Amino acid sequence: MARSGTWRLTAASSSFAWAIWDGEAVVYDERLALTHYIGPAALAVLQALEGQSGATCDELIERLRSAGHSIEPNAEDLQGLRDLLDGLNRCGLAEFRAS
Amino acid sequence: MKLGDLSLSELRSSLSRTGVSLRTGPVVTRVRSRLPVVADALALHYMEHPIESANAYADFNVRVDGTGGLRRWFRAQAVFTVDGAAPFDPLPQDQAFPMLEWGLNWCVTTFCHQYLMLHAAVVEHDGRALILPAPPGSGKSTLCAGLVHAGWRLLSDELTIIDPGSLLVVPLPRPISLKNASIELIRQRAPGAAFSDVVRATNKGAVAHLRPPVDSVHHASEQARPGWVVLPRWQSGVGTDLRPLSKAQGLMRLIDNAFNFNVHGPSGFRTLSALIDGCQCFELTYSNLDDALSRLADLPGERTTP
Repeated sequence: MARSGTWRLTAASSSFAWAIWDGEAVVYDERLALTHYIGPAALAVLQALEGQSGATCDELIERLRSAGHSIEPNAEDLQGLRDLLDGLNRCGLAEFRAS
Repeated sequence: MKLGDLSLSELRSSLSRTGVSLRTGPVVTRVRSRLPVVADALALHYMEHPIESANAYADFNVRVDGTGGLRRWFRAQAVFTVDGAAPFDPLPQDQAFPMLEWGLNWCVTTFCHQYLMLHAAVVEHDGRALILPAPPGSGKSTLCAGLVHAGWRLLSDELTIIDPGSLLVVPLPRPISLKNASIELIRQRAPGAAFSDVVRATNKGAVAHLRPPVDSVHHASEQARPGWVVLPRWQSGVGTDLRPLSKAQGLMRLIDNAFNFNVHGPSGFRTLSALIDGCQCFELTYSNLDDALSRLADLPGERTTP
């Protein structure tokens, strides 16, 4: 069952070093000396979280659709989005706050 | 003065007493050894390299000598030391020169942190460097030797040294280390080239070193701007496939193959990102050296076959 709450960028993410090319990125977390590859879908999600208050998964789908991405509000895409967000959470880039 | 100006007896004498201060690219190493096999190999491979005066500053003081005790008479061994410390276990004495080469690599990667260093062969043509990062066994030295004998300038077969200030590759032209089947493959391709004797049963298999081309040694002070990053992978029986790689994937692979990325931290990240920004990135899978060389001769931006 889906948790209720919102996703946002972590405070630490602003201190990461970024290199972005053609819809892909590499980020370097100096604190943990870790480097992460960010694919096009993950980068789109991060950009949808940028500079805005937290968003639920449904709100994120809307933001992504508004930005021209072909994500649908169906169960399959929703699960894909949750998996992506979990991955970004493991990288220390996004965090979930339960409501 | 270059090392080849010394006669073999002068070289042996210097090596066994004060040492020979050998300049390889940006590094001066004072080498001492009483082993004739080391003197002979240095005379073969480093004849065109400059040597500094005996009292010049040396970045490293290294020694390769036989071990003491009964081992002098029974399965003689050699040990590599740098500033008196032995970072490796002794090896059979016929491996003394390969051990010196591995030791010199170790010195550079362990201490030269003013540079960003990649585990990568690197060659240059027309002012642009082709960087070939790969783990051992990927065929990068074979490819490097093939490229060098097709007209590219050798910068290094093992260590790509990046100056973080200029983003240029700093040449370190030294003997190319070939292993197993690659030795015969390159020997056939470059019949005039000078090889050391094959040393068998090393922990890398059979090893032979190929003397660096004279022109590459003479132009060792000419740094080169990176133009391409190609990640080679030799795989038996496959067709040649040169496939573009995104810059983000190229950067990840470069970081994977960096010796001291975390020493440099965020500035290292910026350096490698800027380097990738100016490069085209590819993955190369190959089994046939001729095919691979021909694909690399046609790299985008490479106007003429060298």
